[in-house]
Amino acid sequence: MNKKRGILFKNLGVYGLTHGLVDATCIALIFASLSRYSLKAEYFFTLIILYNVLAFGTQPLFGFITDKIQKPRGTALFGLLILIFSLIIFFISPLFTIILLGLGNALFHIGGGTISLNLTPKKATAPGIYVAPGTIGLLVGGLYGKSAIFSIIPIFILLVISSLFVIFTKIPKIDYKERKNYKIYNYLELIIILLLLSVAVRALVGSLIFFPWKTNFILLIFLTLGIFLGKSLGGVFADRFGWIKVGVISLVVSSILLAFGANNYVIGIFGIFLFNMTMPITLVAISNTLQGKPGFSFGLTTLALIAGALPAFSPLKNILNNSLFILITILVSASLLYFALKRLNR
Amino acid sequence: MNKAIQTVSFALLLTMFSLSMVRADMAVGPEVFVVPVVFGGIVIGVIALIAWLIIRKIKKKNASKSNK
Repeated sequence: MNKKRGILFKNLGVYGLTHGLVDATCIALIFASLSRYSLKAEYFFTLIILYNVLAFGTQPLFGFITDKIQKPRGTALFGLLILIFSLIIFFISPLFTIILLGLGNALFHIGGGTISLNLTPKKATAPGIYVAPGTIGLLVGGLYGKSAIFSIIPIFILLVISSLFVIFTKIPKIDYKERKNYKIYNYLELIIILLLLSVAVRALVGSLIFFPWKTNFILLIFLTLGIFLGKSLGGVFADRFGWIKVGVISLVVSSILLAFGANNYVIGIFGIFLFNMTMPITLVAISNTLQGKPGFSFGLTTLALIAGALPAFSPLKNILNNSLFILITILVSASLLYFALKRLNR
Repeated sequence: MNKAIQTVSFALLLTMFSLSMVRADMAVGPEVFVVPVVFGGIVIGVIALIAWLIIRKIKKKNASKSNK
């Protein structure tokens, strides 16, 4: 038991922190490219779209391949190596830097995600804790990339150290055994669709919500902490009190708070905390539906994420950003999640 | 019944991944900001279709296995 706990905590530490570092690296280099190359707004926007499509959209494909070759640690390491290489390309071309960042990010996420899904098998605790540090990474990396003291050297050192930890940390046994679950077999596609739609709708709303007080640096930190705690504690609470209870109730309550209270920082931060609690639930639910395919399952959720968030990158955002739309879409997400989890008997 | 469920789920999938392209003509703003999003949506849509085919393949493969 102690050995299992040791593997759990070591892997969560290594992959969770590295996840934060990876996200920080990507966003730091993106913003640093903007200032280094004095990119025009339209071109920068195109690069952002390209990055997101590569980083999130390719994960199902990389996940499928990783499941086939059964080398998640190798995939994660390969991703880190690509990111290290991108630090060199940063001085040559913003376009190829972005491409490498997107691919490196995707590969690491799949490798680390596969491992996290097998740390607490069929439970949402570990994946939530693995994903959460990415939020902190985005904040820190974004600030660093825009700052005057930006340098690739600390990033390079940290990526190398992380790579060494990834190499020398023993990973848990990965369950690649495909099983047919007779209870849900006839509804397999429906459950997956419902869960992915729930993710996509949540991603859309998450991209639309506007917090006017976010310009205050201290409140921005608290907002980031709210997202971080939501993702990391969501799985813990869900495993303890029930997935449907935690997932659905948190979404329903967050819908009211975020639709009508986003202008108030206390309500907004609490709302975003609740809103993010369902992330680990949907992730593990899909993994439990497609047993033996952890990488592919992880990738499906990120594909749904970018599919849902994409409209928010367009001027459509101006039309969709209103309280009623936010309220209705979160409630739709909650009902989709409810029906999917009911079918899964969680 | 099974076919109906499959048809409904496929329709939902197409709807979901058409979100980024639906009503793009309603967009207000420079065209240059819409074009990358539309292309991104097309790429995401293609990947989604491939993912769908993989899911179907997994299901068919499991059809011949017994639950252990």
